[in-house]
Order: sequence, then C-alpha cells, then structure tokens
Amino acid sequence: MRSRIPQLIATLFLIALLAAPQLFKRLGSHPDAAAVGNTASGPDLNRYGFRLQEVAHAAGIDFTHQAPKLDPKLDHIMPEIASMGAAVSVVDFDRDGWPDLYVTNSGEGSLNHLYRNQHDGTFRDVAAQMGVADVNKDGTGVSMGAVWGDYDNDGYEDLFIYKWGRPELFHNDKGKRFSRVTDTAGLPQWVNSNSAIWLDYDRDGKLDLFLTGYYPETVDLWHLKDTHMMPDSFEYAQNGGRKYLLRNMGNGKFKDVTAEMGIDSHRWALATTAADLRGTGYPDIFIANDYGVSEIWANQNGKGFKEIGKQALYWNKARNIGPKSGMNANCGDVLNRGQFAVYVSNITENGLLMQGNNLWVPQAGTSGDNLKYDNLAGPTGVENGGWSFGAQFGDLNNDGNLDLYLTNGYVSAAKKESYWYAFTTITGGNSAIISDAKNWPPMQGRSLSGYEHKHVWLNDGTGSFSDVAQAVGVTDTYDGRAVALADFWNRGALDVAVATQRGPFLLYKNEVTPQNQWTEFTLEGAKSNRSAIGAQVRLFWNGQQQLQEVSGGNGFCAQNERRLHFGLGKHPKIEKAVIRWPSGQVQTLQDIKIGQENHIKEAV
Amino acid sequence: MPEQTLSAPPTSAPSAPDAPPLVPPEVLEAERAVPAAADSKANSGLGWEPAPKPGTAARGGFDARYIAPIFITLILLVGQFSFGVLESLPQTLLAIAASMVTEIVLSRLMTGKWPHLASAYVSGISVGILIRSPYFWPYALCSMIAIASKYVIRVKGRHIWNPSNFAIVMMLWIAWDQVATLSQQWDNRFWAMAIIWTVGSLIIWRLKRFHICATYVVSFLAFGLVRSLIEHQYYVTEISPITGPMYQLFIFFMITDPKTTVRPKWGQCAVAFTIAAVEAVLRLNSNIHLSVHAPYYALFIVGPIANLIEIWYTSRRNRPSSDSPVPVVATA
Amino acid sequence: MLAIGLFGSALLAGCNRPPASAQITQSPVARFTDVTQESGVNFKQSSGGCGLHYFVEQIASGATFLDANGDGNLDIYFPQPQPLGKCKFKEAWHQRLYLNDGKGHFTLAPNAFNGVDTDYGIGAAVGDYDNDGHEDLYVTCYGHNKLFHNRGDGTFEDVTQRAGVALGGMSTSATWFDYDGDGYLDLYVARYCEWSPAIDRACYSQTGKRDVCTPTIYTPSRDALFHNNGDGTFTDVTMQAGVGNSKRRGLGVAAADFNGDGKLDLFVANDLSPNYLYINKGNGKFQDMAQALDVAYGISGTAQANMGIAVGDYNDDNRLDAAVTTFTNQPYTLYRNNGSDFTDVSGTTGLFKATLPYLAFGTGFLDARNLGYLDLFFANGHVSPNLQLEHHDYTYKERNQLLLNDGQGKFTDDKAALPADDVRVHRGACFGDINNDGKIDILVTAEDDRPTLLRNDSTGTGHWLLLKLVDKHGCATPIGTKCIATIGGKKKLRVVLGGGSYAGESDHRVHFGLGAATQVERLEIHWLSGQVQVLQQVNADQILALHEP
Repeated sequence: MRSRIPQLIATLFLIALLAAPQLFKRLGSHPDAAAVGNTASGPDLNRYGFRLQEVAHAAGIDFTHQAPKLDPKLDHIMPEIASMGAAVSVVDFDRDGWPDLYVTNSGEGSLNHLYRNQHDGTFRDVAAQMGVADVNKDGTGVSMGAVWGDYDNDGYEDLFIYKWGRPELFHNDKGKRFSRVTDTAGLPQWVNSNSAIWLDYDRDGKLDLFLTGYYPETVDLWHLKDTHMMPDSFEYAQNGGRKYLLRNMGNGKFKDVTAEMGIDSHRWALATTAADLRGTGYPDIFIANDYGVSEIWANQNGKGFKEIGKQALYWNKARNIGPKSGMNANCGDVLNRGQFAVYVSNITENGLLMQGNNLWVPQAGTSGDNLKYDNLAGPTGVENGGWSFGAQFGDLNNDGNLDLYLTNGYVSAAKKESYWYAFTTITGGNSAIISDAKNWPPMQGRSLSGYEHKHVWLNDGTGSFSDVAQAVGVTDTYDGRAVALADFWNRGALDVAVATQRGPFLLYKNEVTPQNQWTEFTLEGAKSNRSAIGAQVRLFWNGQQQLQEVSGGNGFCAQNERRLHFGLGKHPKIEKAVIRWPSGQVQTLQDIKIGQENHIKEAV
Repeated sequence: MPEQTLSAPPTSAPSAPDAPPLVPPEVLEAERAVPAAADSKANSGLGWEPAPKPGTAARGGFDARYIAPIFITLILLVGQFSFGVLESLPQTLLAIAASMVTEIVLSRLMTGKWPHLASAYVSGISVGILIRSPYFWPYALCSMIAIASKYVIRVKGRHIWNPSNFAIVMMLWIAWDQVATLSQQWDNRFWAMAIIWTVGSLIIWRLKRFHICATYVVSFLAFGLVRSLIEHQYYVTEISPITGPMYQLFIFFMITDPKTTVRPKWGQCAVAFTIAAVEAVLRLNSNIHLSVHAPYYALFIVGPIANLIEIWYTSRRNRPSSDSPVPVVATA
Repeated sequence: MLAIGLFGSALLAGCNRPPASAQITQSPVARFTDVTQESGVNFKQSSGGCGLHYFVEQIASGATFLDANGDGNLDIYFPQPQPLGKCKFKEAWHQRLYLNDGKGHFTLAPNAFNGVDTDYGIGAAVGDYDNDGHEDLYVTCYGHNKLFHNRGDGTFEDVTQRAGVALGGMSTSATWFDYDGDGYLDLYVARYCEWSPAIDRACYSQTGKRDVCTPTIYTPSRDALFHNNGDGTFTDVTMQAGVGNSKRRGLGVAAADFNGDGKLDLFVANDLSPNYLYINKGNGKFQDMAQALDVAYGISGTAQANMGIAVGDYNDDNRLDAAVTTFTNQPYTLYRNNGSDFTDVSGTTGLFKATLPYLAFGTGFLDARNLGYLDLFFANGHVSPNLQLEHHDYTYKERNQLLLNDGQGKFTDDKAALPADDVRVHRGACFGDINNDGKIDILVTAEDDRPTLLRNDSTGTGHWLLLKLVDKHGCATPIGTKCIATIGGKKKLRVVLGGGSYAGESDHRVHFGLGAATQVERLEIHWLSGQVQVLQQVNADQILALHEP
C-alpha cells in the first residue's frame, strides 16, 4: 500500500508537468491582447500615444506589385522563388522639402513608380515623365529595390536600381528629368541583387556603391541552363552571388574595388546597411545573409574591409545564435545609449521552425576591434515576428524611444493549405538535393507562412518592447517586404510606407499625440558627400542621448527618409546636438528648434 | 545523388546523441540491483552502454555506463563548436540539469536510492539537441517529462515508450506553438553525412542492432517511392529528409533503444518496418503538425503497441522466465 | 521514294554521298575543333600597329570565304593592314589567298594578286559582278579600296581604276547586291570615320595608359553605293539612291529582303549611332526605316555601339531576323522580324544576359548541329587593351560564344562547344563548309594574332543539304536568292546572304540542317528574277548544284 503513494505523487507530477504550459499561458495572458477590438472611431490615440491609418488610396497611390515569371523550370515553386521585389525608398528628388516615394515593380515589362509629393496629402506618379518607370523590360531583369544618393554632389539625389538583372543608374537632372547613365558608369552587367546601399567608405566626399548578390551573377533566372541554382545548405550556404564595392571615381564612373578591399563573401545576402558601428568614423557594412550567418565588414579606415561577424556577433560559442535566414538589417540606438543596435529578421513559424529574429545590442563599453554584440531579441520581446522581412526603427509616438515596425508573411496563397510540411522535407536534405530546384516539392497553390499579422513594437525606454500593432491600427496581412519611414506631410510624425509582394502598396499615416514633442534634422554635406550619408546626429536632451545616422539604404529593400526624426517626449530640454560629418568635422549645435525641421549645412 | 542514400546501408553517425535508447531502463535496473537483466543481450543495448553485467559495473576499472555519456558529450561539443548544432549551450545545460534533478528526486521518492545519473544525463542531452525553442523553459519541461514518464508509465515493470520520444511528442502537443524539433542542417555537405552514416553504422553493427536500422532505412526508401507515386513528386524529394541529421539521430539512436523495442530479432525488424509504414501514412496526412513531426509520432504510436503485444504475449505464456522483464517497481 | 521530282530544268550536279543510313541516335553535341595549325592558315595577321594605338587599328581586320578557283571548295582571303604614320616594319606584309584542297587543307597562293598590294586592308566582299561564273573580290581599306577581278584560275587582276570604285576613307564592310534587278551586282560600302594618322588623337585609359579613342571624337563618314553599269564600270549613286543623307559610323552591312517584297534591302550596323535599315523602294531609291521598324536602337532606347550583323530566320517563321553585336555592357541585340516591324527580343531569347560582358565584331547564324534551326556565333574581343586594369570582370582578349538555339527560339551559351584556349581579340567571323562534310565550319580572325579555323566536329548531328546556286545571268553569287525547304512538314527559309558578319563574307552556298529527316519534301528556290523553282523530295546529305532556268 505504501508504495502506491510515491507512485501517485510521481503520476501527479507528470500530469502537472503536462498541464504546465497551458496554465502558464492562462496566467500570463495579457489583457491587452484581448482588447484589440478598437472603438468605432479607430484606435485610441492616448493609449500608446499614436495611431496608424492606412491611407494609400486616399493619398492617390493605387499600386499593386507584380511578381516576375521566371524560367518555367521553376514553375512548381515559383511563388517562393519569385517572392521578392516589392521595395520602397523615400527621397526628396525635386528638393521641394517634401518627401517623395519610389516604388518598384517586378513583373516583366511592369513599370516602377515615382510618387511626387503634392503637398496636399496626395502623391502623383511622375515616373514615366521623369524617365525612371520602364526599367523592367523583358529580359533585362526586374527591379528588386532602389536607393538614392547624390553621387555627383550636384544637390539632386540620383537613383540606383538593383535588380535580378542589370543594375541601372539614373542621374537626376535638377529634379526635372533623369538620364540613364548605366552603360558608361562602369557598373556590373548583371547581378541578382536584393540589396544595395550608398556609402562613402573612403570618406573622399563621393558616394560609393555597395551592391550584393543573392543568386550567383552567372544565373539568368529567366533562362536557366539547369535548376542547380539553389543554396547548397539552409545554414551554411556559400554558393550565392558575389558582392560589389564600387568606388566613385568622380567622373561619373565607378570602379570595382571589391577584391582589393578584401570583400570576398559569396553568401546569400538579402539585406545590407552601413553605419559607423565601431566608432572609427568610417562606415562599416552589416550584411544579413539568408541561409547563413550575418557578416560585419569592418572598415579599415577606408583602405579595406575585414569580416568581424565571427568575433563580434558569434563570439559566444556557448550562447550560439547560429546561422539563420537573415532578411533585414537596420540600425537604431534602441537604448538611447549612443550606440547602434542592429535588427536582423528571420523565420519563425510556431512549432515548425523557430529561428527568432536577432536584435544585436552592443555590449556596453565595447567598440572598435573589441566590439561585441549580444542578441537581446528574446529579453526585449522582438524575437517572434513570423516569417519576418523588412523592419525599421523610428520613434512612432515621439516619446523619445525608438520603436520597431516589422512586416512579414512569405507566400499567402490558399488560406487553409500549408506548404510547410513539403518545405521541411527538403530543408533537411543533403546539399546535392537542396541545391537543385527540381527537387523542391511543388507548392501547388499552398501558402507558406502567409496571412501573418504585422508587428509594431513599442519601446518603453527600458529595453522592453510590446507589440501594439493591432491596437494602433496595423491590421493588414499582406506579404510585406519593405518598410520605410518618413514624415511625409511635414507634421513631425513618422509615417510608414510598406511595399507588399503581389499586394497593394500601403501607406500608414501616423497620428501622434500632440503632447509629445519632436525635432528633425536635414543635413547637407559640403566637404562630405552632399547627401550627408554617414553623417551622425547625437542629440542630448533631458539627460539622455540618442544617436541617429543618415543612411544610404537600410531595412529590407528600403531606404528611409534622409531627414532624421527625433521624438522628444513631453517636456524636452535639449542640451545640444552634436553632428559628426562624414568628412570628420564635428559641429555642436545649441540652438535646436523643437517642433520644426533644422536644416544644417556643413561648413566648407 | 540518390545513390548516396540508397547504396549505403546505413552507415552512420555519431553525431547526435540521442539518448533515449541507451539508457534509461538498464540504469534503473542496475541501480536497483535487481537480479538484473537476465537477458544480457538485450541489455547490451545501444552500444554505448554495453550494459554492465550485474555486479560488474565496472569493466577494467571503468564503469561502462559512462561510455555513452562521454561519447555523446564528445559529439555534442565537436558539433557545437564546428557547426553550432545547438540552439544554445545554456539551454542544453538546463535540459541536462533538469533531467538529473528530476531523476534524483523521483528515484529518492520511488526507490529511496541515489540513482546513477548517466541515463538522465543522456536524456537531457537528447532533449537539448532535438527540441528547438527560443525559450528556456521548454528544455527543462521536456527533460522533466522524459524522466517522469520513466517512473510513471510502466506496464508490468517495463516502460513502453522511449522516454525522450514520449517527452518530445508531449511537448509538441502541449506547447505546439512554442517548440519545434531539430530541422536544420549541420552542414548538409556530403562528407558530413558520410561520416555520420559510417560511424553510426559501425557502432550499431557492433551492438548487433544494425538490422533494425537497415530495416527502417530500406522501408523508408520503399515508402518514399510509394509516396512519390501518390504525390507525383520527385523520389529524391521524398527521401530527402533521411539525408538530414535529425533522421540520422532518429535511426541510430532512437529506434534502436533496447528497452523500448521488442526482444526477438524478427520482431525488431517488424517494428522498424511498421514505424516506417506509420510514418509514411503520417507524412501523407494533411495535418501539417503530424506530417512535419511524422517520425516522432510514428515511434510514439508503434513503440508502445509493439511492447504491449510482447508483454501480453509473454505474460500469456505465463512463465516468468528469465526472458520476461523484471518487475522493478514492485520489488522496491 | 528516292526519285527526285524536277520542276523546270534544274541541273543536278551534286556530289552524291552514300545514303545516310545512320539514324540520329545520340543527342547532338556542338563541338568545334581548332584546326588552324594543320590547316595551313597559321600566320599572324598584323594590324600594322606599333604601339601608337592608331584609331584604325582597333577595327582590323576580317577575312572572307570565297571559291577563288572554281573548284567548289571554299578558299580564304585575308586582307592585310599596312604600317601607318610613324609605324615602320622590316618585313613587307601582303594580302593572302589560301586555296583549299577540299579537305580543309589550305595552301598559300603567293601570286594570286600578281604582287599587287592594297592599302590598309580591313575587309572584303565577294561577288561575281560580271556574271562570268567566277567570284570577284572587293577589298575595303583605310586608304583606297580595291576591286579584284577573278580571272577564273584563282588569280586576280586589279580593275579598281577602270571600274571606278576606288573609294577612299575608312571603309569597313561592303556587300554586293543587285538592288535594281538588272542582273548585275551593285556594291554598297560602309565607312567609319574621317581619320588619318595626321589627326590621330592620343587617348588614355582611366589608369593613365595610352589606349584607343572612342570614335565620337572623329567625324563620321558617309557610306557609298555604286551601281553596276554592266560593262565593268560603276557609277556612284549614293545620293540619288537616298543612302547618303546622313553620316554615321558604319561597321557591318547585310543585304537581304527583309520585308519579303522580292527586292533587296540593306541593314547597316552603325557604331554609337542609330542603325540604318534601307528599305528598297523599287525605283532605285532606298528609305531608312530603321527607326520606324524599331531596329535603330537597343533595348534601353539608346543608340548602341553596333558592329557586326547576323541575318537569318531563327524562329522559322520564314521571315529574316537580324542580330547586331555591340559593346561591353550592351546586349547583342536580336531583332525579330514580325512581318510589319521588328521587336528587340534580346531579352526574351536569353541573349541579353549571355552577351552583356562581351564585345563582338563578327557574328552569324549557323545551324551548328544540322538540326534545322539557327544558332548564333559571336567573335568576341574588346577594343581597349587596358580594360582589365579598370574592370576586373572584363578582359581585352575574350572567348568567342556559340549560343545554341533550343528550337524554341531560346539561346544558351554553350561554353564547351568552342576551344577553351581560344581567347583572343577576335574580329571577323566567316561561316562555311570547308571540308564539304555538310557541317558549317567557322573562321575567326583576331587583331595582331593568328586566325582561328574551327572545324565543326559536332556529334549526333542531323542530315543536311548544301545548295550551290547560279542564276540565269550566270552569276556565281546570286545574292538574295531565297530557298524554302519543307522538312518534316515545316518550311525553313535560308538565303544567299550579301555581306553580314563583319568585314568578310561567308559561304555563298545555302545550307540546310535537316535533323532526322533524310530528304527535303519540297524545295523552292525563289530567284531574284522572280522565278520560283520547285524540287520535290530532294535527298539529304548532298551538295546540290542548281542553275536558274
């Protein structure tokens, strides 16, 4: 009889273990999560200090992205191959002080759009009359994204389009028209690229280009010799496209200096951004690679690059983050510490593949060659974003802390049929099997992490983010790709532009509580490149600081507005703003206008 | 490249330690100093743990029960520091710790003795490898379930589920949205696969359980053909999973668990075949969850049924011969 | 079955071969072997340069196939550049004629021109301008061009002065073609730039090295059209025929009936300026329809650096399509003939990506595997010797390309088909069957390098038919004649092409690949006179001589 009691205890113990997850879930469930149902008048503005409303149509933008139709040999898995190309970049191409939008399309023969800001809340497509629409001609490849930078320092932002195909460079003729200068610019002829950025890596005052390959550049996805063009591993693939560091020679020509600068990666790059991550004054390059680890190419004072991702990101073999499916790279000073964290998005499908996104936060006190990051995505709450794509940091509610907007969703097809099982049969296979697209199971109209809910993570300032997407009005479930932030209507609020694959272009207009103050900086280089890409503004207010840098491309296939936006909270007292120009000049400003834009020109 | 997979009778690999098989049963028994294991063959289980003959726990001064844990640890460390096979070391350590603590507590509770921790260690490592989650708690919970199930779920003193298998399936049920299983590569290059198959096969061969693996592999390949015909899919695609590391662990270290498979050789082969058959059905099933985790579910279903049949059969013969499992709990 | 139906009085004189019993059992593999060494044409064709990078050197020089001695075998003529300006050399260089023994062995005929030399020889056009049955030779030069009359025995006399075709300047490609239907071949000559060593400018590469200049710094030239008076003299009709209205930089010329009206039109590839497509209006005048018909510009809407021309029906719709070669970072452009206009299909056919890295002069359509559809060959080689210093991806010396047609009109670059070590600064390309085995061989020239003779050793090839045509005037090169063969129920169009490629011409015999078919069900010969000759059930694997009745 007595022996029954331990038996009973053990049994109860097992039962308790089995019940634990459900119990914890009940106990831990947030009341907020249930309260998604908003009032008829829309989300409550005061709850989180802002709300977003999708206004693309009202703003005159009715655009639906088209995906390419690649070689018929890929027909069976076309949705997952032709799954990128929706991109958005923000630019004030005509220098009228209002941000405009460039939106790419990816169908063969489809047109890209340049939406000029009409100042009245609407946009008008002027791509055709400006000569930057018809860039997806059948056989020349299709657009994957675009970045803007004034490569000849004439004051007007020029347009670089990267494609699965021939990259294109258009010179901005004083905002009136664009001239195609591709043939003479010394660009590579064909790159299957999903990211490019402008940066002045050698700080000579001329913007250089960094362009990454995804599929190898030898592959013509419309005319495949065979189907052996897929990655040879899901975690360690190094059979992707090469990278191109193109140095601006100053005469309208670019020179390929990739090899001499030491960049030799053949990983499957999907997202790139540059910023001075190590505090050297030179921009480093962060690459989020699909099918493998991310890389940090540390700038050796403009004389070369060295990969330090192994030491800086994956230094801790014990707390191994391991290779994932990097799809985004953007920087933000999320802890208001004056140092950039980098956000990399990956794949999470509950119960099937749980990579989790990475928020690489630099360890306090590390910089230069000792720079070390910890992945704090878990503790900060920005880990699970579904099949994540583009993300951007921005202070959406002007409370002084950078929030995080993430879009996601891979292939939304048949609602009830999932391709996930079929997908997992191949993902575990040997390289010889994986690398041949022919072996990939046919999708047959099934979804792969489709119809996902987006994430708007609100930063409470303590390093803790909570998802308020549904509560603030972000309710779409399109297959989001690129996200770009800009104060489109010069109101001191960061609006959100989202390009979706095969879906409509989304423009979320932001309404921010007027209690929170803000300021903005528009920088113009003189000794430095005129776009001021790489310039840093370190704003000190209320005893804290926030660092921002003008970026020549960030997120996934996106570029934010060059103007820097700072939320300041309720009663800001600004001490100063310290601007470090790419030339090295440091400028300290005391007289910062709040609630206005500060236009700062570099001293010659 | 199908030849690679086709030709080689499972040749295979060490990498992953899957613990389940090896350990649990025998350790328990040994600990209890039961007139252990009459069936020394069965006990010699998964090789890494050539079950010590009762009373000779140490061979040549070395306790053979340590072979498995040491071997697994080695593989784990090599794998981790070359390819980073784990979600993270802390998570795995947590799984191991939870497993050991549970073992101690339950052993003290149920038998009043201090357990030998080799078994729990190996269970912990298996959980650490096979479970994937960004969180920490699933690792602890899964280990605890594995160990607890050893003590609770027994029929005539014999457990009918492989503990790790049981725990993983339970986790997939109770925490389906927070836990996944190992699905990634450890570098899916040919040489890595070849090493795993070769070493694994050698070990299994020496342990005289190669027939189980062979039966399973042949069956899997055959059912792959059936599935490819049904689904009109490339054969290579259908057999692709078996080229990945998860399967290698599963084949060499999970389905060969001596204590959770039947005794006769033909029976073991039949069980392996049946697992492959059930797995094939599950893979054809439209429920994503069942199909993605098909091998775990297949073993989960077939294992206990086979064991129960054997238990029923032996008890019907009604002579508690040396062949029959020793009723452990009762003697405590 | 074996009977050959004859309509009209076709004269049959083929060298009949043993009936092709072999079925096509293996899958066809295109393979070309470099036989330069053993063929006997192994010499260095100098550009006459001595390191000063004279402007003209970058376009030198081509070569041409012709049957010089009337033995039915393809001989080869190599024009020879001469030292210019400050360049001096000890040895004297001469133009060369190599005679073929029919097996692909060539022997230099040292006295073929009686010691006459040309100015800076660049290219040549082949045509029997006096209808005596012998192929005559017009040599384009920097300096003055030369017309060599074929005496019939493989020797040539210089008749330039009497004929009145000693055009000066920088002539590149030329073609013979009877544009007015009077039975005599007229002559069109493309010219490049107004240049002389005296006005040569020194240009430098980005890295500061002396390099070739872009042609835009020199004045473009006007092309010329000479009407054949039938008495051995010619009249310059450039202006009245309407082909002299603009000056551009002509490099490639082809004469063919693009709009199917029975009259020969002209396609001229112009460097860094829009192409000409002169449509023959029938009244002795031409109209440039290039822009209207969409062949003037490239896919990006700009005038490309066009060099050589290929003409052929790549998609078997019985309309002649045209491909032009271009500069690095521009696609070689394939213009599909829609009947009413052209469409740039370089993108959809796979040319765009495959050809962006290269620069080619010579090009041509050929049925490399005798499968019945036309592949494309490009003789690649850059013009800038310092290229590699500036672009890691590009090289001065380039490999040639054979783009195989999959039969659906999609082209794939078959790297294995050509010798891997043939990396040179290639210029001209000529296509023809040098060993009479029914497979088209290729001759490629290279700047300051030896030519490359590529013997077609493709395996698993199909059956074939070669037609040697002579028109009713007795012209041995009846340029513009269209042959339509019905093979397996499908009609295929092949023509006697005037000009094409760059600075040299190909076999004027008409070649059909038949694939598995062992006979042509129906063969129509559309002579330029308007006469149509029809043959039924023509056996495969023979060289068939046909005279217009």
